[in-house]
Amino acid sequence: MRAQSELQPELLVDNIGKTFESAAGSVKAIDRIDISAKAGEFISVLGPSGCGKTTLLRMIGGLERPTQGDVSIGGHSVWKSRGDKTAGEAVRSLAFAFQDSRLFPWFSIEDNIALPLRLRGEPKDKRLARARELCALVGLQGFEKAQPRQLSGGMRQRVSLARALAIDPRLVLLDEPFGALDAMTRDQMNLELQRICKATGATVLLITHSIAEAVFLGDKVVVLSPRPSHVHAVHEVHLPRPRTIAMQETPEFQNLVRAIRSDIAGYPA
Amino acid sequence: MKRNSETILRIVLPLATLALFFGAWSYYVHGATISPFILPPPEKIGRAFLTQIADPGVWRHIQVTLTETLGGFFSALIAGITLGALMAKLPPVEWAFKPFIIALQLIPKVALAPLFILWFGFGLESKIVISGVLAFFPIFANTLVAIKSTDAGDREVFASMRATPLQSFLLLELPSALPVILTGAEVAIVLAIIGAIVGEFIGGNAGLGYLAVVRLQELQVDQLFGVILILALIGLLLYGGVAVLRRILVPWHQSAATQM
Repeated sequence: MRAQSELQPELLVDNIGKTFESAAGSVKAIDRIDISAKAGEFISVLGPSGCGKTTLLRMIGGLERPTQGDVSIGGHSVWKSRGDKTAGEAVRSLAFAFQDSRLFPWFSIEDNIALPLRLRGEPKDKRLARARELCALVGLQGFEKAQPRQLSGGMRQRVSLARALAIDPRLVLLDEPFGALDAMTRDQMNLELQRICKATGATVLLITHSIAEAVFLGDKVVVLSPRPSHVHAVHEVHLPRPRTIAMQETPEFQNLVRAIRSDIAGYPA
Repeated sequence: MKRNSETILRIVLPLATLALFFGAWSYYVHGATISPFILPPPEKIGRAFLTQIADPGVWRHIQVTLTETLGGFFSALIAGITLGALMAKLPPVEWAFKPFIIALQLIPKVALAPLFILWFGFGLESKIVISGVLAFFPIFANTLVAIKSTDAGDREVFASMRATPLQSFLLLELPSALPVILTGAEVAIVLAIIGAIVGEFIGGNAGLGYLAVVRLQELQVDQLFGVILILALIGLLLYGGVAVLRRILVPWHQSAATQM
């Protein structure tokens, strides 16, 4: 299935834009954004606060209707073919993880992870087997029966990630998933994220405020402009994988970070 | 060391207050000219309490009051949660009925008790209705507010997982509302007891409220105090029951850990 990806991008964000209408007038949040990703690629999206990154993610994920343009995932349109059979197909194959882990305290860890499968009507034994598998993948063996409140912030984010992976998504949308963690845990989680993404083969779109994080994780870094946002620059990251924390000290890494920082400094005031 | 002395004081001081209270009471009753018909001494009340709980006739009254209270409470629980949830999820239902429910809430509902006796008779049914009507509102109001105030970020997670409205209700809104609904239930259980007793006062031939009126007419004030003591214990027991319910239903919530 992913062999045809050479011809057709796995994720295509095509000329998407969003204008919010309100009584006070209309506000153009996103002018025009184009992004394309090959299957299994990791795309980092960087942008200043308020540039509509979260809106972009919600439009890609089928949660918020764009006022222009469309998104396609694996060739299935998210917005254009509403009512068409394939419309559901695009959004069924993607998953979100948010800045807050958003675990539900009335479910155990394994039930939290298995929740997306439960919503799809998977039988209990099947979804719990999958939850155990994912617990192992994110390094939380032995915590299957634990309650969310017993876990640290970093562990909760692992669970949140495992939950996103439960449906074996072809596209994972990450909205600053480690933004609320301390710097040390965050480094650790980024290493883990790299490993987990490689293990699943999913295409990933990560939204972040951190240049270093964007470069460390991404195959490509998309830099957005301030509102109304458009793609300001795209940087390919050619660092070998698996990437290590030590790699952040290499000239290549630092040059890239510097280049991106000057992109951002070049924003019109 | 300091901690230890605090622990001791925390146990000793309330006991001292209690001893002082009963001491003063006893001293006043025995030493003054007050008639034991008006205020019996504590030890006499204690004896009256013990003779009453040894009396199978009194246990029948206890059973009646409990049946009425629990009947009213559980009816209110079912009706309150159903209506509250329905209005939270279907705004037109809320628009249609909420003004009238609020208006009804403004009537002192105890004043409706004679009507319910007229409509439902002198038996259990009328007391269950009075008890249920009193207990309904806190459960209803808490359910409505709690379901409406489900966290927006949590809703977003369910939306992102393409949950159906029914799934969101059962797996997100209802469980997250449960702690607040139970707080309503704690208020409601106390009101349910009041409803049953008021019903028995004005038109009954059984139950502890009825028994209290009978003891008053017999001028057995020590026995009357005994009935009040039994009612207090029933109240404590039922309130404790709701607290246990909280621990069973929402062990994950702060409120389950901080209770009592």
